Amino acid sequence: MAGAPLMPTAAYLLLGAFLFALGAYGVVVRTNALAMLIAVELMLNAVNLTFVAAARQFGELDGQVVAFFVIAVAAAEVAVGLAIVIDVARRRGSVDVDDATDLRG
Amino acid sequence: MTLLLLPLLPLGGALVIAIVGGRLGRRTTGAVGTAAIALAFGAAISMVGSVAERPRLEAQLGPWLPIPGADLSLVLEGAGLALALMVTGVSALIALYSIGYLPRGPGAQRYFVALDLFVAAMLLIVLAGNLVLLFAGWELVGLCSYLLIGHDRERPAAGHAAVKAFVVNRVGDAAFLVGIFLFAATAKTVNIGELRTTAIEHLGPDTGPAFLVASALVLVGALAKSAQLPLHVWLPDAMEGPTPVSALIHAATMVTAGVVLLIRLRAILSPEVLVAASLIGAATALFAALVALGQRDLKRVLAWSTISQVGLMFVAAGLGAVFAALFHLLAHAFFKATLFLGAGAVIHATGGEQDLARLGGLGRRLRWTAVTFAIGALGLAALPPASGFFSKESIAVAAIDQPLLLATVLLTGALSAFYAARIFTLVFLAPTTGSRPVHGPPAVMVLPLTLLAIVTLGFGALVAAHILPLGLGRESETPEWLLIVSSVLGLGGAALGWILYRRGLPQAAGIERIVGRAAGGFGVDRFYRLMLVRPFAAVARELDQRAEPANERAVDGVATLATRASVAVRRLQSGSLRGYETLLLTGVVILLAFWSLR
Repeated sequence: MAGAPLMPTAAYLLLGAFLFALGAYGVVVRTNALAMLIAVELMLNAVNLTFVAAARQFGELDGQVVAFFVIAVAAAEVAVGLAIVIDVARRRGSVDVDDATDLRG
Repeated sequence: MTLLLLPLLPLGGALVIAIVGGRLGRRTTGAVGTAAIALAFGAAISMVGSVAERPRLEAQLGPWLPIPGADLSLVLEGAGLALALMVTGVSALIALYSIGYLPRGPGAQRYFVALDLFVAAMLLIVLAGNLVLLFAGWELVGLCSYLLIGHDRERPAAGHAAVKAFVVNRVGDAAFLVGIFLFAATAKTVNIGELRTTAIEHLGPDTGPAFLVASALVLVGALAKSAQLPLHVWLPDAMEGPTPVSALIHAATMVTAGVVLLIRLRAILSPEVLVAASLIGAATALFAALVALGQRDLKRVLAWSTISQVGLMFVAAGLGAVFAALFHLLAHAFFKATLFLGAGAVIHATGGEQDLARLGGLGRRLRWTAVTFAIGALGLAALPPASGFFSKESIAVAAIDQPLLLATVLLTGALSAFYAARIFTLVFLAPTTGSRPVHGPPAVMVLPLTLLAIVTLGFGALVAAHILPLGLGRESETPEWLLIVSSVLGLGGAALGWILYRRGLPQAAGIERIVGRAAGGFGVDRFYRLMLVRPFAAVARELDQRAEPANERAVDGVATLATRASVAVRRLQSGSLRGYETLLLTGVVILLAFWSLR
């Protein structure tokens, strides 16, 4: 980490928190399953940003390692999630999650 | 190792029948079961030579339990070979006989599995190198007797008799187990050979109190298994099983287990306990002989006679005359098996009749059965030349210094002769009370009967003439006066029985009234029913009526509670993904707020 930081760490954290909240909001208000998946991606990357910012702050690589893991897991998650979405779309002809309520008590 | 084959062959037979027996017929199943035991008999015969060379054979199968001495080991010493030969030989004949006796239909598989397992378990008792392994055989014997007595599952009486036998034996088994624990705790081993050394070396004549208590507990176990006072009540009821099973239980595999135990542990048990064993044996012998006099059921006479004869064995074993005990055990096994198989032939021939009042005049129609039964009855009456004569003499000699015991033995002998003559006269000689169709036994039943009758005739004389060794040092010879006294008593008893009953049961009302008084077993059974069974059943019924409804309400309450709770909570499961997400996020926010404000 040569040279002075261009931006203070707090800025990254604030941006991360903002993106996370945005993603969470998207997950809750959108009913389209694809849009919800995109919102989840946003949340995951917000967390990644926080990890990397922390790694830079403390001069350690742990946060970056975790970020890579999150990226890998997110790829897998999208693969499974999209498969489910495709299946739901085939069965119901729509990807609106408000229609898929078979498991209610 | 031929020694290992002895219990493993019948065990293997039981396994084979258990696995494939369902697909075989009754005859094939029986043939497999018989062959397994017969092979064990052959294995025992093949060891006669090696036992003559080395008096003690051991076979180790491996370690077993983490108790010192409790390994899987068999040992053949002393009376072991004679007992093993008797157990396998008599059991093989009984198994063969069963093929002809058992009715058609399913059940043969169950029967022969239990029978083979029974023989294996008894061989374990005879051959086990330590008390824990012996106890395993002991328990297996109890289990198999339960299965076989209750073989006719449809009849409630058979089920009750099986449960009774099992429960009464449990009393003895529990005592025996605690006795084994005590031996293991004091002597730090359960190996029978090591226990013997410990008992002789360290404790000598004044054995420690722990050994005394342990010995007494082992004796209780022996009393229950051998149907001695006061734990004899299960044996007469055990007649509910098929007749070959009675032969097996009485002759070869179960009732004699207590005597085998006393013979094997003679050097370990405390002298006081041995004295108690002989006294209890004498009391039982006389008591059971009296009860046997008045029985109206052919098989029940034989059952009580077994209790009585085993009592005589206890007298001998308690007096330390193990040779006499062993001799009588073997002789009794042969003649009692003959008698039971003969009784089975009678029951088979008459279509299930075993009431003495309704049997009679079968001597002409079942000639061969009558001859073999007569030989068995001679053995029971202890008249020459049957083997019972010689073996009972050796017991009388053992008791010669104890006037009371001697008198009991002689009196029991006279009574045995009387009831032996009574049943033989009533079944075969007395006038026929009705003409019923009678069919003779098939060849598979005649062959075992004949062989057993021959052995009954010859065995005693061969042993008495020192031709057949039994593996134990024999005690002193019989003085002549004793021979004469007991012969006269036996002949007198038998003659009296024949004279009184030769015209049939209706013409013997006078004597029947007298002997009938004892037929109830002096109320021991009634006492147990009143003092133990009834209160227990009453408590159970009470609990069923009072506690069971409460219990049911409690169980129902739990179920209702769960249902109500689920109705309340199920609304949370809306099935709406966004609803869940909202809840999740709300929870996260609340937790974060909680942690950051704390």
